[in-house]
Order: sequence, then C-alpha cells, then structure tokens
Amino acid sequence: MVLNRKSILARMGLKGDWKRRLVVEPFLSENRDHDSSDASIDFHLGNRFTFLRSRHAVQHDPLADPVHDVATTERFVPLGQDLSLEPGHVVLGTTLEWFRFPSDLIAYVIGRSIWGRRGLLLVTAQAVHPGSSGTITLEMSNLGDVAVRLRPGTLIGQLFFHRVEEVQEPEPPLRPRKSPFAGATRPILGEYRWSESEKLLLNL
Amino acid sequence: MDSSWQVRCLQDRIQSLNSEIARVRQKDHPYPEPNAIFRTLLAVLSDRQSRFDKAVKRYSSAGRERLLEETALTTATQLDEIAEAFGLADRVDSARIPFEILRAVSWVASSILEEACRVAVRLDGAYNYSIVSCRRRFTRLRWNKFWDEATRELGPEGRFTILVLGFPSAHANSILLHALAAHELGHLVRGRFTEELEEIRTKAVEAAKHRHSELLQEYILDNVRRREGVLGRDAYDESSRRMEARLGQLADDWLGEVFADLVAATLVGPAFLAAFDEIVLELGKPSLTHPPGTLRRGLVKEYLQQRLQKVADDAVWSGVLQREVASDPLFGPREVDGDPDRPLYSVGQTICREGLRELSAVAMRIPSPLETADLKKIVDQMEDHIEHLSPPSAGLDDSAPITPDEFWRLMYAGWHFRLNDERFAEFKTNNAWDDGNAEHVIGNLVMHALESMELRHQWQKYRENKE
Repeated sequence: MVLNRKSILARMGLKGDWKRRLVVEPFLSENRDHDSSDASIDFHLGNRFTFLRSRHAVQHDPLADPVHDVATTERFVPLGQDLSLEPGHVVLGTTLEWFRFPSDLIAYVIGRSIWGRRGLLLVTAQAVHPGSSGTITLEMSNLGDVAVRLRPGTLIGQLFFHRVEEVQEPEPPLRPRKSPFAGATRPILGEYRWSESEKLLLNL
Repeated sequence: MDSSWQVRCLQDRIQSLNSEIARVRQKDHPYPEPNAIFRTLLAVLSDRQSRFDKAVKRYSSAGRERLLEETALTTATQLDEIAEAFGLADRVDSARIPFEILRAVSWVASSILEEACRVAVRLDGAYNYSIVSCRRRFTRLRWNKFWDEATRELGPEGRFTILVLGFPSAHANSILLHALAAHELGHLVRGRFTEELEEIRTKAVEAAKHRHSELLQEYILDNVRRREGVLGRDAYDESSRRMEARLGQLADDWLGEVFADLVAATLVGPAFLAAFDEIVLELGKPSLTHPPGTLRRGLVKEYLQQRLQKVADDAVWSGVLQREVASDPLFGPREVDGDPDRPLYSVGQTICREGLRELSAVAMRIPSPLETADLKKIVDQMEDHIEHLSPPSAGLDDSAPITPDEFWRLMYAGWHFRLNDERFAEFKTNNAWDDGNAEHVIGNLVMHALESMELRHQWQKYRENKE
C-alpha cells in the first residue's frame, strides 16, 4: 500500500516510537505545507558529487576490482553554485536530506518530471529498503542533447513510500539494515559483492 | 655586495610569486573565501613591486647603493610575509574537507567572536589544529586597505574576517575530533579581553618570579655570554633582559593556551578533553609555546568542576576526567634533555596555576551552552537519535529558534554517546560494526546534524522575514 502525505507526516511525528518512526532531516517545513503531490515527499539535491572516469580500460567491469578500472573524482558544490552535467555523462549525487527508515517502510526514488523532460534521468525505480539510514545516493545521467545545470538545494526528486506487509504483525522489529552504505553521507561507488549463486554461475 | 644581482633575484622572486598565486587562484575552489586571500596577496605584491621598482630607479645611481640594499632587505622580508600568507589558502579545496560544516562553523564563530566571520578549512600536514584570522593578521601587516578591497565582493556584511582553520589532514573526516575547533576559537576570543588578560599575566608572572627567584637567577647566570669588550655586569644585565623577554613570551603563549582551553571547556565541556587526548599524545612534554598537556588537563578539570559540576559528575566522563595521565609511563612528565629553557618551564607551570582563578573568572563571562536545566533531557534525546541512526538535530523543535548553542551541544552529545561504553557497545552490535565504522557513522550523523541545524535556522529566518 502506498502511503499518502498525511500518513508519511504522521510517521515522522512518531517521536519515541523508533519501530515505526520515519526521519527526514532537515525537513524544511514547506514540504509539510504544500500539496503538489498527495502520496510522496520531495527531496533536495545535496552538495556532494562523484564522477567516474576510466583509468586505462576502455570498458568497465563492475565485477572486477573497481580500483583497477575506474577512478572517481569527488566534488563539493556549495548551495548557490552549480554543476554542469554534459550529455551522455553520469554523476552520482546525494540527497540533501538524511532518511532513516523504519523496518516496515520501503520507498521508491522517482525523479521529478520537470527534470526528466529536460533529459535528466534520476535512476529508475531505485528502492530504499526498510531499515536503511543515511543520505540517498542518486545516480543521475543526462540523456538529452544539451548540458543540464544541477544546483544543490533544488527539489530534484520525490519518494513514494510503501508498507512492507510481512513485518507488520504483530509489530515491526527494531532492526537497522546491515548495508555497506548505512550511515553514509557521500556518494560512493561501492564494491561489487558476489552472491553465492554468482560465484557458481560465473565460474562454471 | 653586487646590488644589481640582488635586484634581479628579488624581481624574479616577485614574478614567480605573482604567477604562482595567480595560477592557484584560477583553481576551482568550492567556496569564494580563498579568492579573497589571493586577491589581497596579489594586490600587496603589486604594490610592493611598484615601490621596489621606483626605489631601484631612484637609488641605482652611484653612491646610493646602501639605500638600495636596505630597500631590497625590506622587500625580501615583505615577500616572505606574502609567501607565508599564501600558505593559508593552500590545500583548502580538497574534497576530503568536511565542507558541509563550514556554514555552521561560520555561524557559531560569528556569534562567539561578535564579528562577521567566514570559515575556510585547510588540511595541515602537521598533526595539530590551528586558526588564523585573516583580517587580524593582515591588519597587523598593514594590508588593511587591500583586504577591505578584496573582501568587498564577498558579501554585504561589511567588515568581516575569514578564519582559516587548520585540520590535521589525516583526520579531516574525524568529525568528533573537530570539537577542538572550540579551543582554536578560544584563541580569538582572547581578543575580546586583551586588557584583563594582560593584567592577569603581569600578576601571575610577578608571583612566579618571586617564588622561583633562585632558579631564575641560575638561569640568568647560565646564559651570560662572555664577549670581548663587554663588562661582566653588562653581560649579566643583557642575560637578565633576555630572560625577562623569554619568560614574558612564554607566559603570554602558555596563558593563551590555558585560556583557549577554558573557552573550549565552556563550550563543549569534557568533550574537549576527550578530543584533546586523541591529538596531544606527548602530554608530559612542554615547549616554549605550549604548556605540558598534563598541566592543561589538570587546569581544565579544575575549571569544569567549578563551573559545570553536574556535567563533570556525569559518570560517562569519569574515564576522561579521572584518567591518571601524570603517572602513565607514556604520558608522564618528560625530561627535556639539553633544552636550555628547561628552568623556564617550571616557572611557566607556576604562572599557569597562579593565573587560573582569574582566567576562569573571565571565561565564566562566556555563556556555556551546557548550563541549561534541560541538558540531560536534550542530550538523552540526541543520543536516542544517534542510537537509531537518525541525525541528532532531528529532535530539535522547529517551534523554538535554533541557536548556535545547539552546535556545541551536538558535539557534546556525539562524544557523550561515543564514551558511553554500554550504549556504544550496543550500537556496534546492532549494526555489526567495529569501533572504526561505528565512530565514522557517529561522525557522519553529527556532521549532518550540524549542517541541518544551520539550514533549519536559515529556513526559520527566511520564513520570519517573509511573514
């Protein structure tokens, strides 16, 4: 079930009830007031950006040692300044807000159409898992023909919240999600973690 | 001396310095503050170059070489000053710098220094924290008009300063350690109480000299320089004057450090000592500029027990406050072999002890964010947030104005959580982290909270103005 704006705000107001409480910080109260969308909350673009560039390989293999193939360049763009994203380029950004999810909520990150219509693709249905905590990394690519100017602080996307039914009865556990990205504030590439099935299938 | 050769060297040096500053200025700096420093330096350099060129023309004729040499020497000194100031804006653009907290630090610095401040952070290869107020330094160098011109473009605040905070490069992202910024700000707070602190210094030095008269007498005699043509009495007087000057400088520096410590303790309480212990490892070792860490810890502890007794009695801080560093083989008193100023260190310790009561009285005039009846409740709430991986600022109520005090309380709460053994152990277990990861995430939570509270403060102001 998708939560409406009222339910999302109610979750944020559950002080002391950490099993159900959703935290969005900073939550600038405009988000509380305007009702442009009834079933989501908007988030702002943060200040940290990470670019990927090839070291010497012409092709990147995510399963190989990432340090070998690609290098990352990090930039901090203060509020009031901007960053140009050229056509065909990809950049990792973050949300200005820190999100703390209870273990019975999941959210989908959706770009705002005002950006999408100008060629900026802001991930496709990236899910934020229950129990996640930190700023959300945004994978942004420019599919248009002209460069897009990105300004930290702009409302760039929105989150749609869903309830995860299995853990609602009798009550959701108080359990943070064990993720290498937990508590992160910077957009990082992360290392590929091989699953057991991948270890088998890719080595057959 | 061949003046023309010296002139050429200086002109080359001016050119080289000019092109280096101009080149670095063009680099992409996230914030505009370093540009104000570069603009000032380029303007000073251009002014000095023009003066030097005029002097070369005027004094190049025969018989005036001496004047030319004097001008060259003065110019060389000025170039050294420019080069040193250039170092202030070096390594201020690394993405490793926690730029997120700069707006918040500028806000709290402006509040405590009662002067409009912008902050830049420089990564320092040395393992220490430092602070420089560009306006104060440039005024001392008589560069005011260049500074005023260069900063005019930065904003509407009018007269303001840029504080360059040096963070140890290896710990750029150790947010909790940056509680030591409170000590660095303390050095500048000193400027608000110059006359009183001068009086305290004079009294403390007199008392210490009286108590250590024999030791100082020996020091004077040991440092008498026998030179041909100088009478024994004159040599003694010269040594005595040197001792007075050296002791005066030591008293100034040491009391300055102790006062900055008291300011830091006022702002973040024992969290200052927790961060201090991680950075200042050779606690037993004094120097001409810094009293031994063991003494500083002792004085801060005394001050905390007097001023913030409830805080000092909190069991979480007992590990920090009761630490017996003096008897620790690693941190205990160090013999400084071969250091001719060793006797002055004993006198310096007496000066600091003598001055403590009055320094404390001055520091007490600075309001402490920890002197609030609700401190326990506020800190509990912040820790509750950290425990649940939520930035501790999220508990701040929007209906009340957010003030710079929250900055210091967030720092305090971050350390309080870290040093609460039970809570920290549970935090690690719940998230399957080791000490390093857990500390890193606490740092991230505190950093995000510092950034968020400043943004929320700006948002409150914006809404108020709109209404």
